Amino acid sequence: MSARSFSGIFWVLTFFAPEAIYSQCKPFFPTALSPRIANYEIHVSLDDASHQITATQTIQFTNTSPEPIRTLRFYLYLNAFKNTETTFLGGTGQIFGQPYTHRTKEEWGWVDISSIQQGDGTELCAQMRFVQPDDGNPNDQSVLEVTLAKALKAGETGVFHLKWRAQMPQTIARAGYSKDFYLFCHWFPQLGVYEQDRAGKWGWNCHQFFRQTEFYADFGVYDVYITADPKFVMGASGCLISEKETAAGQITRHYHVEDVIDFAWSAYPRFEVQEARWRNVQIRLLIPPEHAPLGPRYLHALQFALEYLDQHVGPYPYPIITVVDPPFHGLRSGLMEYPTLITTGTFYAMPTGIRTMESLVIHEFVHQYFMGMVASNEKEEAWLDEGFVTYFEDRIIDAAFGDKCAFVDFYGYRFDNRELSRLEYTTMRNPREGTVARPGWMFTESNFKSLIYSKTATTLRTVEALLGQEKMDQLMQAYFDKWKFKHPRGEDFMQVLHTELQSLPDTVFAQQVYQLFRESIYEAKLLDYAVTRIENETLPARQGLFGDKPSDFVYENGSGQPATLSYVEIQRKGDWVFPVELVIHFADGTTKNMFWSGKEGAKRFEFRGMPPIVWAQIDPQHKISLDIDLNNNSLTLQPSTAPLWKYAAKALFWVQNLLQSLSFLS
Amino acid sequence: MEKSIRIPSLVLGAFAATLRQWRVTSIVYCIQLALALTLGMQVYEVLQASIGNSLEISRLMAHYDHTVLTDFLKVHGASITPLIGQLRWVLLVWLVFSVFIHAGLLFCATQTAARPRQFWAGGSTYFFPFLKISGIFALLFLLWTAFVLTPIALFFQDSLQYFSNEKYTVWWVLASMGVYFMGLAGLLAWSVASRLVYLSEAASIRKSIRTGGRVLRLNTKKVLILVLFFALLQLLTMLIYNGLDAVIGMTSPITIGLLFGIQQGFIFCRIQLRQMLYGAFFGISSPA
Repeated sequence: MSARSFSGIFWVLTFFAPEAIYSQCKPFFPTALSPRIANYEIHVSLDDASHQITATQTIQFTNTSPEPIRTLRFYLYLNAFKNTETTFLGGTGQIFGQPYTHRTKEEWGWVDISSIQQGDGTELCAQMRFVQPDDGNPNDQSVLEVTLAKALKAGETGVFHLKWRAQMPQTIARAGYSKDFYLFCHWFPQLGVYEQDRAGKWGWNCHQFFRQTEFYADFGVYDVYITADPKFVMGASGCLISEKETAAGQITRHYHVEDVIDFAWSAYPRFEVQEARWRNVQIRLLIPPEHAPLGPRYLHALQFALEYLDQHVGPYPYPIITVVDPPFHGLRSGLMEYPTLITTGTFYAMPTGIRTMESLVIHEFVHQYFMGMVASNEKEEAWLDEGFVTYFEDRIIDAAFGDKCAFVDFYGYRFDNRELSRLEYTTMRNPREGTVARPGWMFTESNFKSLIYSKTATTLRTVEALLGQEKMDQLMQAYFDKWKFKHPRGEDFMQVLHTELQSLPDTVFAQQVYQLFRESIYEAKLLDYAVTRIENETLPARQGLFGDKPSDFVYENGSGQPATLSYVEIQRKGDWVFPVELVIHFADGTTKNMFWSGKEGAKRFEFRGMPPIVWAQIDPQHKISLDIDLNNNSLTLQPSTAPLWKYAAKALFWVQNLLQSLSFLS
Repeated sequence: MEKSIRIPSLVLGAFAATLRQWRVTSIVYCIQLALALTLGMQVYEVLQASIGNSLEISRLMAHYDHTVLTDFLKVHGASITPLIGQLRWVLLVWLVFSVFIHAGLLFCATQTAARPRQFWAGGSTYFFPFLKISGIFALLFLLWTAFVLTPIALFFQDSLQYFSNEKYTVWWVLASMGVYFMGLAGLLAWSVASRLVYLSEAASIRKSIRTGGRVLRLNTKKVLILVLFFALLQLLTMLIYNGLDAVIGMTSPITIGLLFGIQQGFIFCRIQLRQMLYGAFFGISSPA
């Protein structure tokens, strides 16, 4: 056969091949990155008219404990949207400030398993029951327990076949549909994590779905076959392996992703696709047409983030990251993170000086590291991912767009992410209202973000300022290297912190930094130091009788040089003790650097015979961002009035403009 | 009644007359300044009493500093609250003053060579009738605002969910605001025309308002062009000011003084633009 004939036959076969096989990226790792405890193969079909999905699912689950497992526990999180009495929805008529009630029967969400068989074919449906391990709410069906016919022995891998059906809700939070936009997240029956608790006892860590909690699962491989109307433009975790047309005229897409803890996907007929690359990583953006001009902003931000994290934390091992920008009516599905798929949010014609979209996409991407690879328990210790992510989000955005103006820079109104994080914590009505290290369900909606995200990020920023960025990077790299593809707890990070700090030459300082971090996360204290007083006094010159015995007395009449006494008073106004540096500046231009442990409530630094003190400043390099009031950290006897005149002039000008504008009414 | 006077002549005439009346402009400027200073100086005092002795305040010189100001508001925010309350009273007092002021300005617009004494005379003579006219037009302004803004307030949120994308909502709101400001401009023009008719014909308030409306209808195109022209001039002066602010900035005592002068010049210009508008309208509405 000639080469020409062979070539012709090849192209003919390709044209008529029933399956178009291509891969956007290469999702197969030569060696496993994670333990791959729970692997999923799901065949799901979407019925757009009824907003329902039906699926068959195979789970391979390995018992890594030393004892037999007799039950399985699944997250059935779509049941959280079943009615107003679930743990997720109970006690409020609004989610994200929007009412969610007054919906038809078809607009609520649920998931129902019709069959679950153990590997030998034994049907386990009769052994299913809903459990409520956290709040005992009998109306909550977000956790399902199944008793096995045959216990899974230690080290054994069990195979389970499920058939199930789900009704996607009209989106209340994250999962669901809005018009013809879908986000499928926590959409399938997913196993919890079988692990040891803090007391060493093995059991299921499988919490109910609370409003303030997110997700926790084992690493594994996902093969998901999604059948849907060809009108949908789709994005999913991992890589698209193949697309095939079905007899009914639908399209089945096969996605594959390895060493991840979850799988999410999105579908919308009006998505446009924009792509970019960073080294071997494909960046795939699905964006509605009205937001398309903003697409390059997402892509550039992500490329910057990939580069930054590669340098400062560690490599991103996956071949792809998919970004879903929902249409505005579907924004309740935005601002979320899933392995290799993130959802963001923006608004038509968002000005370039307002960088919420860049900040969001970077935040959600950093989650690939913290929660995606370093898979801490988001429900019990959300600070380990949200706090770390916020810290790196701030660093990345501020590095990309500049200090003091990175987040907003709009007609003179400007601030950066680090300022925003600090202020979200320091402007809490009561910064002492609770510790950071608590399960998510113990927070209210108002203090969750301030403490978990902002206080943790501000604490990390303070530690960075104290240690220096290089040492901080070493710490983060050590934590990432040790705990990626595992499930660390708070004490595991504290151990890494302790170990890294031990390498510092100043062990006292190391202990202080460790203590600062520990107190910030595990206690609820307030840090506020203030310079409260500066005085320069002239004391009377020496007068009187000096000497031990009358016969030796020397009389001084006070005509000599008067003595000077200058002092600075500083106070610890909060209950958080941390040593601080104080810089004192004298009239002759000299300065003195003092240190105070902060243990007493107040301290006076006196100087005799020195020139008058002009100003004093605590923490002159602003290392301690946790201080809730930076304005009282300094005091000067020679204040500059120029800033006061500036703002008085601005206030005057705007009042004049307001008066002039309002005069049209008369 | 229709006049065959051309717009450029109207504008140039008004411009020349306003320049001649710089003393009157200065009186208005000084009254406004005195009222605004009651608040402006208090901002100085509040800042001085709270964070004036902190080194952090120097960060406000180079740029706006969000941390300094937010920490200030968090700790000393209670000291700002009385200023907000005072602002409301200042605005109310100003509204009453400005009836007097604009009566004086309108009277001067009808004179070929107006002096300050004519400003005071006009203000005091026509204060009460113009107060009534202001009241009527204030009600019309409120009704127009409610008419345009109520649908936006009621349906904005729902529209974001109803339409396939938010672009339609954005354009709907922008179009509504465009219509709203055009309506405001129309009401302002009617208000000015009514007062000018009152000044010229010494008619009753009701007749002045009706005649003012007729003058507008007969000169719709000219009125529209004039209103747009002066609105654009206002916008242009604002853009020039913003540009100068961006270039110079209040970053040192010298630049604070310089930009303060520019700010006050801008305010002076705004008053003069209003006078020019009155002069141009007088040119349309006065009998041949």
